[in-house]
Amino acid sequence: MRIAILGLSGCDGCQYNLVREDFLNFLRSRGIEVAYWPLVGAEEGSGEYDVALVEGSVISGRDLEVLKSVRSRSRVLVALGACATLGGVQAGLGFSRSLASYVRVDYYLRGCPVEVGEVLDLLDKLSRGLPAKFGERRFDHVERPTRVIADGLIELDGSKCITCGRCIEVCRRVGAHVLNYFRRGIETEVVTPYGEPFSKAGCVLCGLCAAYCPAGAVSYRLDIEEVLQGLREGSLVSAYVEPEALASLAESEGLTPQQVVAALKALGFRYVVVYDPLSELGRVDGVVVARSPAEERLLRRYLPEVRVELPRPAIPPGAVYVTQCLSWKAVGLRAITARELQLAIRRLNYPTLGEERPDSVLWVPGAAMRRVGSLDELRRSLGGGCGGLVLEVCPGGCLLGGGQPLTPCTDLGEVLARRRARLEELAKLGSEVARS
Amino acid sequence: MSSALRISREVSRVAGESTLEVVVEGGRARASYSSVLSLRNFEALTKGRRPSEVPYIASRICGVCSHAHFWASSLALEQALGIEVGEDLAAIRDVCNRLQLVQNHVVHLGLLVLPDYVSRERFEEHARLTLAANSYLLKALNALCGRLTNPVGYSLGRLLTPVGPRHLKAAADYLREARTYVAKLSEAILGLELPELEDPAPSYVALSQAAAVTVPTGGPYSLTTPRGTVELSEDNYRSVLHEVHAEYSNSRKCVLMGEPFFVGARARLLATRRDLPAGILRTLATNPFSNNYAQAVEALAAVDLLVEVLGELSSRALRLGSSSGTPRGSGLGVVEAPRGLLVHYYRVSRDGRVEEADIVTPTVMNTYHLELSAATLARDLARRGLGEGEVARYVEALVRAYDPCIPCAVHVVIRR
Repeated sequence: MRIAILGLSGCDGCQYNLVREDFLNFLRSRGIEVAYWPLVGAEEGSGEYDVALVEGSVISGRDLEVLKSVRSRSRVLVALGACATLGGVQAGLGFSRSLASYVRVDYYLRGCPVEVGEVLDLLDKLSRGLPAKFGERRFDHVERPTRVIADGLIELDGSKCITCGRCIEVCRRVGAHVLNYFRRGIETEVVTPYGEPFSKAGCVLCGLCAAYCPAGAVSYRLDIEEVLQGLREGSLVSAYVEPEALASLAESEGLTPQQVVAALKALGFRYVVVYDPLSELGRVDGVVVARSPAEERLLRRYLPEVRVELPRPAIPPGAVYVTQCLSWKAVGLRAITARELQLAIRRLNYPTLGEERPDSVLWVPGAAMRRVGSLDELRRSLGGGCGGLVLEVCPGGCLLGGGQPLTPCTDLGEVLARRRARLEELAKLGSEVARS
Repeated sequence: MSSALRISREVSRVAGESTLEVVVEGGRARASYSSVLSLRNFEALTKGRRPSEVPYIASRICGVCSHAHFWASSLALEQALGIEVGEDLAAIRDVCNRLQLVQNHVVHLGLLVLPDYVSRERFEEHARLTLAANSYLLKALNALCGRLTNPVGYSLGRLLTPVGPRHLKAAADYLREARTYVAKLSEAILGLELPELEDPAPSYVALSQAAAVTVPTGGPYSLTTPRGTVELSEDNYRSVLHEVHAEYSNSRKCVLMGEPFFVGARARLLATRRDLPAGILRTLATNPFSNNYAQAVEALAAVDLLVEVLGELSSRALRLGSSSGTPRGSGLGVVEAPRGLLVHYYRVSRDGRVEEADIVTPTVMNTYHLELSAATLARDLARRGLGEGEVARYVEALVRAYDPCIPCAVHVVIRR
């Protein structure tokens, strides 16, 4: 067997470590002829080789020439050490490339410097015609997961996910525990259990994962185009807007509540009603009120012994419900989220917006009901009788619900405070409307 | 004379690949020596790094003398960060550096130099000696610091692997075994008939204490030159060891206070071993080929010194630590690498990142002197009527005598 040992751009350390008794004795005992090894003066550099051990990375045109020449004259080419396999320490400068970037490499011997025992082992196997397993590159075949989990309402696109974990955290805080990490390292992805569709995996469809995702990897179905079409055709005439949705929209777009009403009118709604489904409730003694279908699902799952009442919005035909909660879209109601409305409003010309009052207000601000923010808090409160308890699981309440509009402010505490202020303005406006 | 002699050779049997071009024309000669490999700009690589990472990067400049680069960069950064290395730790570092020095010399002399001077049979006989010596030296190195290339057992101001009496004794035992072979090799080298060459620029520089210490503990560093002693500090090293860019080559070359000079084993012996016989000293001072002799003398002396030092260190309890002093923000590290003086300079920003790096390697320092010697040699041989092949053979042997290390060419030169 004829071998060549040579170096491209590098420190020569791998070759230098081969200049030793056990290695040279091994070559002699196997009858391996070192045809070319300039470091120690074997200079016959033009013939053909059975095995070429190449150290160093490709930086210059000369490196490339030498590499291509030796590749064409060698049966087996071995990348020797970190520079040859990966580009080496000088790859930090950005212009050093591994051998495999240019030619076919048969075996990779890793290490900085290479482990002499591994070189011996490989040459031993090659010289005896045995199969050698030094070929696999550990990171070559790994790609970012691109799994898509969808069920028609919520969709998680793995190719956009940056695995920040915000959706996982908020899903846990709500108590749904649907999303979690899967696999490790570069293969980490965010999935539902077994990658099942959301609704099947126990999702309560609150939509918070979509609201909190900074990369747009989680999204939900948008129905706003149908609504705008309905407005153009005349099949839709009125908007029933949750007070929280209206206040959030005002905050996110920097408008007054009256301007938001004007914007809705500009979109084509003839009647704008501020509408709180809680106003539909009768007596609530001995029941826990679920603020939305999301809470209803949670309560049925975790507190099945509790009597739950879900106030169903009474939306007349020809009206659309504008809500802060995605889950209403899943129960056969014609509904859009505040976020969807935000997308439509942004197409309008803001400076021309006047101020208008809502046509009607079906909302009793500050009704005598206690709001609880989580299942734990609810469990603690249940001991004292559950009359008038309303469960709102979204952190921060409905003002920060899953269907909320996107806000330019990054501090959620501040967002909440501003939206509360807008809600109070809206309450005042509501009482004026009611008086007139 | 109208005929011109032109030699352009890629020189093998040196670390890295390099080209020497010699032109002899009309009684005048010119030589240029340059790397044919791409230069890897390590100074740029260290910028923005944390100081603790830098020695591991710096040691990868050269796989042959990576310990020297490790120590020079550590020394510079320790001063920048205010780490004061304790006496025992400094002794261990010196032992490791000197061990690599011996190992480098032995392999260079026995495998790379000898083929120029002896028959194939004698070379093979000596190659066996060399390889035997080399395995014991590698074992000694492994006992102390893990491995030859790119050490991982050290860090700034401390050792990462335990070194106790057991390791020191083992290293001393291996060295005693190696001594027999090193002595035989050294004798063979000193018995060689080296070509005659009058040194065209007999100026040299080495650490004044090089005989006892190759890795000092801090600056300013006292250097011995034929004109007397120079104190090297970070303020003056750029003017004392001035680097100039040559028109014709991509490596940098260096002058000592305006003059070409050499570093390495020959410079170290001239600077520190005035006790050697006068005849040897005269040869060392006047013939560049005698660097081969110098390496042979130095290798054997170093083995003896190492056995003694290791014996002393293993006989008592060691305190292998360092204390904290005043951070200076920048530092200069100067050590004796196998091929000569090695200088590393770093400046560290207030948020603890390397801002500036400068490395002057022995090969860069030697290049100018090597070119002058090669031109002189080629001119003399051409006058004696030798043909191109013969001249080329001698000139290549001269290059090997300087023991150049091409991977150490760390700069990128921008030509305008």
